[in-house]
Amino acid sequence: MKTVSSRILICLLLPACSMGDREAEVAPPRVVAAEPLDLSASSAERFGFRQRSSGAAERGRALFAFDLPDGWTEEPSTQFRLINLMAPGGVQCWVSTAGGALLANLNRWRGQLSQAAMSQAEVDALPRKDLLGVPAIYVEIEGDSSGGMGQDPIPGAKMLGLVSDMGNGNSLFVKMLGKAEAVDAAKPGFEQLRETLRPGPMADDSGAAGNVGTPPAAPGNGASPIAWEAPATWNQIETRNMTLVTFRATANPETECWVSHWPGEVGGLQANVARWRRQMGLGPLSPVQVAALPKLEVLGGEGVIVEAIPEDDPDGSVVSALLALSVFVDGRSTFVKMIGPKDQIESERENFMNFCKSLENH
Amino acid sequence: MSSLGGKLIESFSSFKLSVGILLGLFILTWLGTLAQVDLGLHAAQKKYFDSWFLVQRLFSIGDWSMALPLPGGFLLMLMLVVNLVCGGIVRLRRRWDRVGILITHLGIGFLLVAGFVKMYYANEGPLQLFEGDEKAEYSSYYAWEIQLVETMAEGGYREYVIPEDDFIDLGPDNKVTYGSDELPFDLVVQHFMTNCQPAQKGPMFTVSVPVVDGFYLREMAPGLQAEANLAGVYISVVDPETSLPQEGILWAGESGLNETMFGFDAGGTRWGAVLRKRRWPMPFSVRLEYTEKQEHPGTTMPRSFLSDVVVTDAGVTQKARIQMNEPLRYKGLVLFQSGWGEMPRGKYTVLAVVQNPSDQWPLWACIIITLGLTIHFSRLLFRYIKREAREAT
Repeated sequence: MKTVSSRILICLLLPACSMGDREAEVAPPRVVAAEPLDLSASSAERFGFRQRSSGAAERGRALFAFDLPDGWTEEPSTQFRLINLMAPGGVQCWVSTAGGALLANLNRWRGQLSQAAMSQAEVDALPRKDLLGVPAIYVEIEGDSSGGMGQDPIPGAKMLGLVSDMGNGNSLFVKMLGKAEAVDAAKPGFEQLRETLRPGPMADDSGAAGNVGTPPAAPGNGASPIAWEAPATWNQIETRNMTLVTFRATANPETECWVSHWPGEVGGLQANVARWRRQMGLGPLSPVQVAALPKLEVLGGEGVIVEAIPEDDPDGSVVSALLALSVFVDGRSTFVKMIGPKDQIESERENFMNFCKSLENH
Repeated sequence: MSSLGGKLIESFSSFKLSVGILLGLFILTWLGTLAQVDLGLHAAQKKYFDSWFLVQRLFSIGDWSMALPLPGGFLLMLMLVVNLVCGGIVRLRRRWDRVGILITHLGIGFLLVAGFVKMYYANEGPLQLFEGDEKAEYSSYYAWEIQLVETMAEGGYREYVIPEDDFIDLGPDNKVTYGSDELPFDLVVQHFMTNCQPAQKGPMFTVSVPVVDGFYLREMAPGLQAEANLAGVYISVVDPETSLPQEGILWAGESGLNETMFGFDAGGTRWGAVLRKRRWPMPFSVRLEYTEKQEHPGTTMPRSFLSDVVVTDAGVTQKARIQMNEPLRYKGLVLFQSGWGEMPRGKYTVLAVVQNPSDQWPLWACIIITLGLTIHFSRLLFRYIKREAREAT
């Protein structure tokens, strides 16, 4: 009986043994009609450590995407022009942001074309056109351009302008300037630009330090579409050009947190998570992992909490980390991002979550 | 019963063994349930139920730990079948009053056989469809495969698929070499990791795995949700004439990130390789027409999901509705409503596709068991009534 039991036991145990190196046959192939595959990407590109395309280098293209009208060319962006385009006939067209009152900006433009200032009532009566999902004031001004800012004077000039209030004390401008006849000819292209202008793949990074500083917006109020309640230990600092508000943690001064709000999905959650993680030196997450990220009910939708917290550097260097909230509701994306040294991010985690929970639609 | 065979049957059919097996299954269920907290569902199932043996760690004091070897669920279930066959069928007295018991035992045996068939021959995985999407293949939740593609001069690709069977359980120093008359190279696979992340190799630390193109695979503990693990593996493409290898890292996260692959040249053409979840073709395609989530009033809690799909088989289309507890059964596949979601692109449904040869066997087994029990207890009831009537008179 013992012999039989031992043999059975040996038979049962055999399948569990490892067999070392092996050789195996590959099954016959089949022909597949796949989409063209990218078989030349580097390891860094394949693993998400570097963008596959090289077009994201320019900040304007990172913040905005658009369909370039036929015959137009794209010029290098400048300090004041996030998008800088040239239409036929020497017509310039650009996208920019700036602070300041709407009336003052419009009258500054009118002054540049030797036109008298408008009253607030006249500005209120100006037509509106949709720009990035919100109504923007549309203005046409004709006159002699006096030049300035390195520009040559243009007699018989015409300017088309769109001004959109970004809700943070800043405005977004789309302007076209040139000879009146050439501007009229390029008007369909201007309309195409307006209609196709959309948030770029890195629009939510607009709160990162290094942007143009402007006066702070009223906390959670003003024209902002979103209200919030900031932790008592956070100080509101200058609002950066594409954000609703930016805070700095008093106890952790290298940590900043900002809110941005955009039409559309801004690249999509999968790509955004990959980019945020890449910024922290981490690889991307799979779609299944992204789907499993923690959720937070906020702003009438389901937000996704993203953490990009690298392991400690073996060299002892300071490691940066990121916490983010991404919410897509009613066709608009809201991002809350907090970036700072890893230890500071950990100590501000509770404040970050409380801040996210406090967000409400205005 | 004095022969060896007789003694064996006697041993395997004993009630004591039955009680021991059931106790063992009870303990495994208890330990497996507790282990889900630390291991997750899939890993706990593999360790406690899909195994012949396991080692249960009891406690540890400092560097010293106490562990107990236990029979795995697979072994216990196999023993239960043997015990059932020997005790409930072979040794059962062949009398008419025992026919109900015999049928019941046959039903239970059939149920266990259905479980074995499912374990060895079934596969299942998710099929995600946005409204308007049409697909004719589904992927596994857990199993991996290496896909090799050869660029064809006339356009398109020739695809070779290498299932995980030979490379997932390789030891750290072992490798498997794949070859074929149609491949102009040998493919050496090693260092498979269930869950890992590619990382850049810095000058300040060393790693125990190869570094390719400045990257290495950093192994991570498997996640509690096994379907979220991202596996990785090292490959070498070896030209049999020159023996020169082209080293590469395949990482499953790449296929979800973009359409890139590890590219290499062999036999005068361009090849690609990628590690992905194992895929199975379906003998028909499914297009999602409409999907809907119904919620409990005043909440965002789902009450039910439904998916209206169009099945296309050899050019013939037919509409079907799949909803909770009402799967679509067609050509050996069962499509269950599994999940639902909404993204900026639109609404999507997740169907769980199951290919299980024993799909309906549990139902038949339950019917057989019900029949057996009905016969047996009816007989007992009639006997009781008869006895009561006799005593009353």
